[in-house]
Amino acid sequence: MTPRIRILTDSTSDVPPELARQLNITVVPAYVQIEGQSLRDGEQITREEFYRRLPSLTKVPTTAVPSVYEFAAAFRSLVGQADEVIVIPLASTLSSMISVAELGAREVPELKVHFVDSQQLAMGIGWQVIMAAEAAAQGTSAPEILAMLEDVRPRIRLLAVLDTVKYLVHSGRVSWAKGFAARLLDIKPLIEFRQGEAVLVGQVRTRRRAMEQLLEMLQGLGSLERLAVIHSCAPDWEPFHARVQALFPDMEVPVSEIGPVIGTHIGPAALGIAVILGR
Amino acid sequence: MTDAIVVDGERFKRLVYAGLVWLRQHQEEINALNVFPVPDGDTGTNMVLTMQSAWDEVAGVDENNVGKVAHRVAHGALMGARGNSGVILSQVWRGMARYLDNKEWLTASDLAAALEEGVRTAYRGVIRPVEGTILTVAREAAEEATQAAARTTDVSVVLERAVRRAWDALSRTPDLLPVLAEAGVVDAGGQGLCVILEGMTRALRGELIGEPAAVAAAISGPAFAAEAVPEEEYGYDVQFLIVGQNLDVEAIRRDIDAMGASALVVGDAEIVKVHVHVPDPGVPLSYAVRMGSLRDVVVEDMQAQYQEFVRAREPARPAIATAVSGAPPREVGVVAVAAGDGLEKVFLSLGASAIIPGGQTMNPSTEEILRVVESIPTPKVVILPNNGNIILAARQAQELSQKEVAVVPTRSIPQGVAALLVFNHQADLKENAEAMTRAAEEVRTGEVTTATRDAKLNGVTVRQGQIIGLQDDQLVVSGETVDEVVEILLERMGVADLEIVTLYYGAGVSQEEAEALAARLQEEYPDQSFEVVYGGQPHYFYILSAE
Repeated sequence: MTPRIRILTDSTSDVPPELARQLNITVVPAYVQIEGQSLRDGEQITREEFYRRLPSLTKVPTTAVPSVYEFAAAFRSLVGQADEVIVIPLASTLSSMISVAELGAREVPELKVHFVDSQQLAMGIGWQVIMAAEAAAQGTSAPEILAMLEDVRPRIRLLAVLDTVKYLVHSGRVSWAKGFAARLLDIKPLIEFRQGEAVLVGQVRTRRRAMEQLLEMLQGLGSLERLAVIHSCAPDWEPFHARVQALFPDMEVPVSEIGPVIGTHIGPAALGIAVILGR
Repeated sequence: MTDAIVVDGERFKRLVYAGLVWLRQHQEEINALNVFPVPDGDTGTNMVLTMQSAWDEVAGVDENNVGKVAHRVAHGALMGARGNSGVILSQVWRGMARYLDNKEWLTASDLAAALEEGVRTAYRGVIRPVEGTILTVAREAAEEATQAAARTTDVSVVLERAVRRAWDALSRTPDLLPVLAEAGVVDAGGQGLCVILEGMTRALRGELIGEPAAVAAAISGPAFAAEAVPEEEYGYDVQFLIVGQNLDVEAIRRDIDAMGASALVVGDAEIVKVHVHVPDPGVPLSYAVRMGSLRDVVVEDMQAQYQEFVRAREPARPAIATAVSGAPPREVGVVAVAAGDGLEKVFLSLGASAIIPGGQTMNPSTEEILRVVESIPTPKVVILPNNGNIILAARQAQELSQKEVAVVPTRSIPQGVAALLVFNHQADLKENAEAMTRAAEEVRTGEVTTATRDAKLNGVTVRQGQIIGLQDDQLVVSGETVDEVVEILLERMGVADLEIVTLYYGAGVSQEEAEALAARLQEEYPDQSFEVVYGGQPHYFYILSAE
């Protein structure tokens, strides 16, 4: 009998909740600490609420990975439903998520667990998770799924425009942001995530132009295998999604909300795309 | 008339001088012909500075060959060209020099043919020639000269007829260019050309051209200013020509560059022009004397440079702003024309390599632009002129530069900023120039200043001293207070449909005033974001950017 495979990830993968349900994906929530309170992403605080509060917070929120215990509990809940689990967490260069998940898995010897370093964040993880879950649902074996992910990973592209560079400066994680903030005008950076790093690829002054530039960049990417719109409670995600959909009428274009772990660093109203390039 | 009357090199020089003197005496009249009643790059001043530079190039030269004199005049005009009319004037000289090349003297038919060649060169020098300007005046003058030269061998007759026709053509410029008719003026650049030709005619007829003492001083070389001048790092401005064989321009440029600042080295294997600021003038001179023979050595201390700025009615500033420090050398750099310490900082903060000081009230010369282009470390350069009247001079600098240069024809500060924002260090020069040109077109510009004279334009009546608002170079509103004009101007700019408005406040506005205005505007336009930025520009209360 072929082993039953399930996919487990953490909430920074930003898989749209409905897709996660449909594809039986287990999502372990990360934590966000706001004004002394530690809240489980998506359970104790919605993303909408997070971005609404973010601009008025006096202290930058901090984020935390789930405990070993929580990972262990998540694995345990899969015993009986699955024989093997493929874990696809946040990039190991950005967080200790993968190590904590490994420790959690040791508590549940009943399962055979495979760990994949996504080397990505947000829907960059999300697409790997979704494609792995789809393959698992079709009875693909774990080694084949792992090989498929290796093939997909270099073709992931994440592009977004930030509404302000402020949060990136506070986060201190991006070297160019400080110089950017020294600019005497209010400018919106266009960034690309490459290997978990935010690279500046353009700068615009208005959201309208940001949208045009994103669409232009999107068209420049050639053939696409997957395409999603990502945003951090951007007020204009719907018209953007409509235009993206119009450019690629035959593709299913899910919408993914960027979670608080990444959101803390990029702030509200970021808008972008997460794609997997065609071969 | 049967005797052939010709002009030799020495006399030709005197004609050029007479053209300059006559122009100088009519400078203010020409300045007053500005179509828009705004503090602008004055055409009269620009043309005088262009002619001055042409004269400086021949003043001390003992040369009797007309062709050689003409080449020097053309070179001086080219380097000193300021404003669009100055650039076109320099192109006329250039074409004339090309025709007169190596001619010992000038005959009547030479004059006509040289003028024709000058006109052809000038027309080629502009991308979209506009009739009703200096171009029309020059073209008709040349036509008349050609007709006259068919019937006489007397240079003075040919010149006189050309001048008469030039004035006639000038009087018809408002028929060709409606904006002139509306403003009730003739074309300023055209009038400048008429005056130069007339000065030359008068000199040829032997009339004495009155020369006020101030003019004499200016023509005999810059006087030393008694006022204190700001200290600069380098003490002397050194210029000379190296005449030799197999001169290695690249190597000379490298060596001269290492000796001082603002180095400019242009030329070919036979003759190289050097211009550099150094602490010790002996260093470049003893270096160069090993390369060939030296000519036209000019050593001035920096007060002379200062004098030039005084003439241009602008406070002295170092010619080259500091490049962004610590940035790694790149392939393509950007230089921007800006007036005002705030605007300079804006451009530098956005990644411009250097600033060419200048703008509405002081149009930089071709040479000043060239010097900054050559001074930055990148081999490829984008120039942002940020003013319609500086675009042609920027194009001339592009042509003269040894570097690969692109001019993005920005007509305002907001256009320059919009262009700079899309600059991409990874892209090549051409891609950048195209993207920057597109981006510049997507921003709307508003400018608020004081009317310099009474006017009625675009249905707007303006009294001298009133506050006026211009949208994309067009006069659209006049009023009594700055804030009132800003509000109406923004409405005209269609701000309600845009996202972001930047108010660059000038030297005459305080930060509190600017912020109070922005707060009121924010109430009026709750959906737009307003940004207040210190520009420090002279004469203009506000420069508005809306997109």
